[in-house]
Amino acid sequence: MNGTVLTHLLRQAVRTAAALCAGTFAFFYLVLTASSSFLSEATFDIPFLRDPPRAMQALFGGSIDFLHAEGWLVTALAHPITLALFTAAALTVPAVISTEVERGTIDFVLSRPIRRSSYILAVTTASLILVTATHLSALFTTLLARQTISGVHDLSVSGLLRVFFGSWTIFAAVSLVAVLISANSSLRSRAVGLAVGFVVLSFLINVAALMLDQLFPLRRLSLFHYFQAAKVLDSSSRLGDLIVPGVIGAIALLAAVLSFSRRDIVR
Amino acid sequence: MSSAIEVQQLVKRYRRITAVDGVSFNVNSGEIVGYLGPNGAGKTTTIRCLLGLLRPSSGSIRLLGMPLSDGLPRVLEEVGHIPGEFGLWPQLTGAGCLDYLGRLAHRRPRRRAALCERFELSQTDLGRQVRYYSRGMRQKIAIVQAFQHDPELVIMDEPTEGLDPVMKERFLQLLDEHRVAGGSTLLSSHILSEVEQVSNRVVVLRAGTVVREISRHDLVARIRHCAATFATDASSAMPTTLPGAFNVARVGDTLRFDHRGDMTALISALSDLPVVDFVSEPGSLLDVFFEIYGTDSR
Repeated sequence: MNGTVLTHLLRQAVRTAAALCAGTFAFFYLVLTASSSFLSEATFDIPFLRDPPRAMQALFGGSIDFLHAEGWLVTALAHPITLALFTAAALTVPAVISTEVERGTIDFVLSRPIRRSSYILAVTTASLILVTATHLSALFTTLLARQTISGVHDLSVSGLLRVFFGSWTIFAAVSLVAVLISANSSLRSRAVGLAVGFVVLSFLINVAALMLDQLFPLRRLSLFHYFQAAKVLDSSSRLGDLIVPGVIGAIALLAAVLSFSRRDIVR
Repeated sequence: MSSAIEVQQLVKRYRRITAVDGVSFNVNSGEIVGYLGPNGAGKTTTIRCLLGLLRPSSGSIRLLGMPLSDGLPRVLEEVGHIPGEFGLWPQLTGAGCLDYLGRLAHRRPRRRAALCERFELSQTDLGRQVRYYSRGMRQKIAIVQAFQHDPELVIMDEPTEGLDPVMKERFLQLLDEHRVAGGSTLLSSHILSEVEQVSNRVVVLRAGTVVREISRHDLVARIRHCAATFATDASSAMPTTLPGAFNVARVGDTLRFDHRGDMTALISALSDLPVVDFVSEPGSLLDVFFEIYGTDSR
């Protein structure tokens, strides 16, 4: 891995990282604050909130209980805003590869004594740092909420560590797939479009598979199938399921290194 | 004399299109070689193959005596490059771009200050983000980054694009100094006068193949445009042919013609005639260019 490229990329991404971390902090704290009225003030027991209809559960990636803090954390993790924030964190740095090819700056970089594989590894590392930063921001926010919002303190620290590690694994895999796409593209817009399409398709397959019995077998095609926050929190799901996205990420990285090392740099 | 660049039977195909078809040439140490050809001839493709940006379909390339396939990153420590069409990082300052590229080169940019001074890049200029730079300013950054680590070999594709005449002249001086110091240069340019001014040799490319190599000697001894003016009352003595002359045309009292090679016989023939004035101007590389590419190029 080339340290100069890594430092350069991190400097370029620092503002984006700060914005994404701030957004994650604000959104998670807002959702967990909103949960307090259900967790501490409610004296009712509405089945709809404890066990929402199947379609809603499908949208949140599995079973969900709004009368417990876990349910609100799952809501926060599966909300489109969080998906957008984490996806942006996963795609921002990989898009640099195709941007550099499109802009022509890659000619300056690769005509220096630098191996293409070390360039890809630098991009990958910077991207994983960005994904880690946003997840640490979410974890820190949840730990802060646990101390400051009544009802949320029921969340166990070990459960939180498991759930954020699970989410990190999914978005790390997304990031590595984005590196593969960008390493084979000469157009930034195409690379970003394909990577976003991959995330959206993966999300929709999971939702459709959970909603429709006929499509249930397709759920394994989605990255999001391998991480169901609710099950991770109540320990009914093993983190071993995350091996699949881990392997997908590793294969994507290997393919990115090999294909970028062999490709012609043309605009 | 060792070769800084050795290209043997280089072929580059893009699916069905052959961009470079069996190109062979070399650049000796301490030599500036011009690389000429019309648009689409394969110049940029060759240069990108030399730098490992494109993978040759076949053929071999050696830079500074080292096969490219064996040690590209190592050999690139000794190479400076100015791409034909390039971008810079818009959010970086000029100094930021030079710092980044300097660190990537693994060598101290010991010539940067002198180069910035030569090309009139002030600290204020270098402190501005490059997105506010003009084309010429960006080109100056490209030149400085190519030379700042004092490379042994410089490979350039249209390096004077956007430069004003003063800066062009300074750039050509820089090339000459690089040559005198033992450095080697491959210079691809559309501006023939520049190539002509500094090159020891010119390699001419057409449709992906080398069609001619012109040495310094040939450049000097190339076609000359001549005009012999005869005395007013001696127009009847004006000959229709002269030794070695071609494209002969009579314009009033003046006989215009082209000549190539040794002029001894011509001068001797003219001395026997009532010639009152004789002008001989070297043809430009442009003439050679048109000679190779035919009148269609005009």
